[in-house]
Amino acid sequence: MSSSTNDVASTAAQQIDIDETINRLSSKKGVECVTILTKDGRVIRTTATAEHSELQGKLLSKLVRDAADIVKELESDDELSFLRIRTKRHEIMLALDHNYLLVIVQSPQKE
Amino acid sequence: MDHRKEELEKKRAKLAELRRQREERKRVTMQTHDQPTATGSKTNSQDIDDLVDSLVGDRVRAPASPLSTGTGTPGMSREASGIGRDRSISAATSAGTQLGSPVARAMTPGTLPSAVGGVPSGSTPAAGSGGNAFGSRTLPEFKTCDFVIFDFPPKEKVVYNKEVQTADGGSMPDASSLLTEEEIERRVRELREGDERARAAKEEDRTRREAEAKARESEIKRLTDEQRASILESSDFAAFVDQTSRVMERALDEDYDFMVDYTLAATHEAEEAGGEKMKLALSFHDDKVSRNRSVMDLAWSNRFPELVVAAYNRNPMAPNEPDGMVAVWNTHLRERPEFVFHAPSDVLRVSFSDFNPNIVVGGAYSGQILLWDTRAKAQPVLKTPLTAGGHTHPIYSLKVVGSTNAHQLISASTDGLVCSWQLDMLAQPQETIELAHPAHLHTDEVSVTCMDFADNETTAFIVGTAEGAAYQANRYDRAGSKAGLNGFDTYRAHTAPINSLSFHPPIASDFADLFLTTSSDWTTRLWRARPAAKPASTMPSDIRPLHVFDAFEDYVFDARWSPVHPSVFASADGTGRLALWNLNQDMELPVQWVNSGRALNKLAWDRPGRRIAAGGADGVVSIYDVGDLSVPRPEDHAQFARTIGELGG
Repeated sequence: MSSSTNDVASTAAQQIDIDETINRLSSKKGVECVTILTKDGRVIRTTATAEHSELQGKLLSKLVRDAADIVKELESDDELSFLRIRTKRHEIMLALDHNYLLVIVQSPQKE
Repeated sequence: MDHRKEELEKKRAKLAELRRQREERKRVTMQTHDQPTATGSKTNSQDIDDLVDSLVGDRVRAPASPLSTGTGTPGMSREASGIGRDRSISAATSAGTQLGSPVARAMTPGTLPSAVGGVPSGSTPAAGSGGNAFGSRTLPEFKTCDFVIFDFPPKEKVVYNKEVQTADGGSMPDASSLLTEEEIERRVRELREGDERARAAKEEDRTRREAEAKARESEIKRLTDEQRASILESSDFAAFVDQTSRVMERALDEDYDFMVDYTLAATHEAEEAGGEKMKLALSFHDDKVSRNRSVMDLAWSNRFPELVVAAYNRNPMAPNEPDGMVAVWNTHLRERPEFVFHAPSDVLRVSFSDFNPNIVVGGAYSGQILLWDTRAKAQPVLKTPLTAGGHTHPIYSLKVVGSTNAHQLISASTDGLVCSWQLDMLAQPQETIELAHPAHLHTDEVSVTCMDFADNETTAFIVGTAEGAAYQANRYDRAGSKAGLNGFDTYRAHTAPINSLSFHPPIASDFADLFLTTSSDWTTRLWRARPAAKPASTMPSDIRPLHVFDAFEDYVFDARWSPVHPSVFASADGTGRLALWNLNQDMELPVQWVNSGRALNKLAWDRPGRRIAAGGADGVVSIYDVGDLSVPRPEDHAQFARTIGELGG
């Protein structure tokens, strides 16, 4: 059936798109690694080493859960959408939705 | 008197009778007593009497005697004795319990007359004491009488046992056993200890569970391969990646490090913002959209000042890709467009809808007008049909005129047809005007290549044609001029098709009738439009431009006034030069220029007039920062007025 081949083609295209996006993100200036996680910290895709990303997953998912709870408690109709952790040398940016987390670690520099 | 005497006599007689009857009755009862074996009932009562006497003795007789001697009438006494007997019987038999007294007491008020006095309410000892006072007495008579026995069940006295019911049951102390104080203390202590132990156990359990949960959390969880594959294929995931990567890119683009410490030695200096020169700020290029295509039109958004929309024509190398593309670029998102829209034919003109932030309107090579929605997918949400009702030739001019509530889209195609549309009803145009020039050479069609409305005008407009002449046209009949092309007043000067026409922006009303035209004859001309209200002349006449700018070396494709500075405009030509002119400073040469390397098709000023978007024939949209050049000074206005005056306008 043509629909099934279309599905296969579209999922392949999707995969390519996802890879493209990750490549584009990681080639931006200052970006050190890009990781995509599920909400409970399992690694889907990453450009860093596997252990490092697993560690990121375990720790950041907990942080995101706590932060989301805080936001819900402070304002009951608001939700967490983006987290930025600024350290001395890096900036960790987390974008989230209901099921997934996108983590980018960059070292910000002036142009 | 006699009456009373008679009555008294009668009463005396009656009393005597009563007394005689009493005596008789007494004699009768004495006789019956002396005949113990006379009747069965009498023997029964005698037996009962004897039995009772033998059992109870003095106690019985005592209440009976005062009754028999204390009462007045024999009949009464008998009854009273009978009753008293009964009462005393019952009182005797229920000495231990308290039953009898309520029963007797219940009966006595109803049965005994008040003449009996305090005896019925008196208890047996009291009656006994009273009875002793009387001394000897006769044995009272017993007689049987029926009476109803009321038997009340004993009132249940509920006794609560206020003790701690321990879970294991244990040995419950009886109500009767008394607990010593020590025992009480011991038991209380035991119970309290038991509680403590239970609580401690629960606490332990909870901490253990928490520790387990924490351990589980800190365990690293992994995805199996199938799970990962299924996630990667889900469209949900793709949408997530698309959306969040866009957000991330915009966030990543910020250059300023807000944690910079200025007290440390700076390794590099900050660049000055603005400045005297015009310079390239950004360039937008995306393979999907830009490769092998040219930019046909550019427009900034009024609502979101960082958005630019660009229209692209066909990619001849890729016939399978859609012919027309429209991309919305965000100056904060450099790598890729925010939205990409497709069209079935080359899109020649595009603009944001001023009145609806989600709508993008475009005109195509096929003559269709297309409407895209940023909330929808890539295909147009509305299209005009390819019928004779609308345009069938390429649409090179689109303009939205009107106000928020009453706006229309005016479109002009190269066959001279000008249509006005309602944006939500693109099935057919609201009105069409055929611009016809009867004095034309071969056909009276006028091929419109560009069109513009003067500021605040919604009915009269100027069109530029492929012959190089510009004409004024009206949408409706006016006093003195008919609808359609005004063929008599021709703005004739160009010798090649007019590529663009733009009226002065509404900065000041003095210059509202000035317009610039650019043409493929390597020139740009400045004209003053004839007032629309003035009636058309009956003889064909030519209107001359105010000024010619011919410092160009190739076709001039576009020239646009600055929205803030009255005397500044920018021009884009085929050499790729973006030139900035300031008529107050120099009438012949541009004040500044930048060469972009390839032919520039179109240019657009953004709303505050600080940036120019330029679209090239290679499909790249470049954003130039104009800087201070376009900032007007107070005297510029007056100076420009003088300049124009000098030009003879």
